[in-house]
Amino acid sequence: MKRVRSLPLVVLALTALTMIADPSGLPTQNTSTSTTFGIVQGRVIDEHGDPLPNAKVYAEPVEASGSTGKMRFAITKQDGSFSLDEVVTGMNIICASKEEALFPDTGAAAFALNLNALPRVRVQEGRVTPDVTVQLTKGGKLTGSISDSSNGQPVAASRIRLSRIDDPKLFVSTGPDEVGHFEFVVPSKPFTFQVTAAGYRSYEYPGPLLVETASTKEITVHLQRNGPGGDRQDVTPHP
Amino acid sequence: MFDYDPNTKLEERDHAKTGIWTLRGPMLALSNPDPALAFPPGTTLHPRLFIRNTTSKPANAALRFYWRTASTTGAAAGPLLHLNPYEIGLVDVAALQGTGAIPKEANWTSVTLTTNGLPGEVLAVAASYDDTLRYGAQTPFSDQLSFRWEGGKWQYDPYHDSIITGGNGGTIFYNQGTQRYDLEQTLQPDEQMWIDVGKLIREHVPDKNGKTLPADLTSGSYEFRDLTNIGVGSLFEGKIIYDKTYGHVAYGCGTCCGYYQPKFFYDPLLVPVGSTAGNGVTALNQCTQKYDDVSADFYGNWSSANTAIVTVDYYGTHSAVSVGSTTSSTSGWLTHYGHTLCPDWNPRPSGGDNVNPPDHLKILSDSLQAISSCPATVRRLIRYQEVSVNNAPVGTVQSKEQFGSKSANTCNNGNLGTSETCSADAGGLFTDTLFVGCNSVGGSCGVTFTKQQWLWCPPNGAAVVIATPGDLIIHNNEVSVGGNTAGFATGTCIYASGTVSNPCI
Repeated sequence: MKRVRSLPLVVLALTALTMIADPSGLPTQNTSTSTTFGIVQGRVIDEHGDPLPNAKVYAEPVEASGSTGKMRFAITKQDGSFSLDEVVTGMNIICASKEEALFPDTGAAAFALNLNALPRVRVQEGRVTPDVTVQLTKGGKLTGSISDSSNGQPVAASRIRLSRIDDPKLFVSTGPDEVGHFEFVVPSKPFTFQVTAAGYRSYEYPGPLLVETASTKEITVHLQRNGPGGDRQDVTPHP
Repeated sequence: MFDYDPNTKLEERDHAKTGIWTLRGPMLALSNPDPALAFPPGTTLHPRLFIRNTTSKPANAALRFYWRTASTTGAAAGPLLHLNPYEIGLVDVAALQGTGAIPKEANWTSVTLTTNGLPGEVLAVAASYDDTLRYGAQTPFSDQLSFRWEGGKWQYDPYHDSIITGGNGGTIFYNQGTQRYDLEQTLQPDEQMWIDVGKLIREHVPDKNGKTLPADLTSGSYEFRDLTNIGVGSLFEGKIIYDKTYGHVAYGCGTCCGYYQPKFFYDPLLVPVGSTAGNGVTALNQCTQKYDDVSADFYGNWSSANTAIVTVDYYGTHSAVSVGSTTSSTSGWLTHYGHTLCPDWNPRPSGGDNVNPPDHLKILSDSLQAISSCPATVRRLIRYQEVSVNNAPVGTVQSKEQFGSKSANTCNNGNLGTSETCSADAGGLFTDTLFVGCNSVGGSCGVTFTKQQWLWCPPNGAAVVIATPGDLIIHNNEVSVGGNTAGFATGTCIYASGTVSNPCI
């Protein structure tokens, strides 16, 4: 009885903390007419068990519906702790990243070192699920640029697709920035790397692409236009 | 240490902002030598001040002494001097000890000299020697104050010892600067910190962190920092190294630290319509080569070039009044970077202020990915930036989405969460997360939400549509936004009308 009476106060206090932790500094809210929520609390640590401050943490529902709207996340404190409010009830996996320190986003299946090792928690309406530990493993940085081989101009309208060789359905597809540069923080796993763009021959990195832990791999892609003379692709990988 | 410049203004050298030019001599040895100097027993010194009027007009000078014995400290006023043109006045400090104005048992004093002249017009030097002129030293005067001093070498061995005096936060460095020993003391005006390096080593005196200096330490360097004031500090410093064999006492000079390149934190500063944003001032510290936050020295002097667009308060908080661009500026006193002197200066940094309402959305990235919770399901993440009509970032604003209609979720896992209430977008950035959740029925399933629109929520008034991405078809295996399934190119802009353009219009 004592726990039931005190719970609403606990929930209110923790919600306030999460609002403060939100990077905007202002409360944010996703709405749904029939969705119910709970709270998940825990800690993010690195592969050595040390706390990771300033890591980004969010929940992905396994049983409930997804969303359209602004991504909600929490930022870990100095001791690696976090409190995620408005987590949809049911089974969730708790994902995290700290890309500036080369810890990949575990919410992207292709960038999770081991999908089965991600923490799964059952969230109950209005309840706090405590003591969730999210362990991140350092990866490496894949960076480079995409340009037109004929004039050196960036091909900003291209798409990059990274797929895991051990499970090709795990992929990430995105475009470079406006000047043709791209950057990924990836686990040390072999990938295929493909670049496509309208009007150009597609490019595929020869062989498995592996970025060693805590290292940076740079790839410069020169896309060949379709048509006469466009049967050759250049790539300059930098180990 | 003097640098006479006839064009110097008093306020540039009046570090303490008293309106009076002031010189300080930090460590004058008095008649009764400090036993630490190890002069022969019975040695008596004759401390004297020589004060010169360098101008062709009369000048007045006032003296004040801050003395110390082995156990106490105190202050005493000295004589008022009326100096004729080019006259050198002599003050016998030993005589003042004889009258009791300064205690006979006092070992040291610092001397403050104030004049009604301009910087450099009245100079002073002090000397304190015994009858043989073997034991003793001269004491330099300086007008320099700073927030930080970097001192030179100190020595402590069987033949030498060092005494350092200065402001409220002293650090001794040793082992080629790799180790530090921190002392901290809150000082009243003109009070001094007094550090006998040999005593710290001999008596294993712990610093504020409990650290002691190694017993075999013989030399190092030091610095003083004003822990409460930067910009224009209030510290002076002095150091002597004395030779116990020959009685020679040598003064050292620290280097004062100054600032240059003051600039605003944000230039231009983006002030969202109807909101506020703070700005401040940083300046490059000559000694550390890092930028310090000196905003507090610029409080109270902020102004806006156009208050119809932006107003600025005492602390540099900008409030948007109307849409447009203007500039703001402020002024403050800083200790200036210089090679031999650290004069004060009064820089007036300025910067731009832009007040713009969000007009449309710019896409910074658009990613598709298999999600970890159910790898057969695709999630689309579109990173948006709220920008003005001329594609400039607008800063933090609030926004929400709305739809024409929303279908049921054929994946049978409930309604999708949305962002249909206003919420803040830090820096005018947000990520639209589009996914249906895990498929519990097999095949392709999902929702169709028609006419997605993003609206800016102004502080007052109704929300305004700024972008119409269009119909969302969110399935477990594909996500379409306004008919686009491959992903928008970075830099694409989406407008209220539904126009999608790359490059932006």
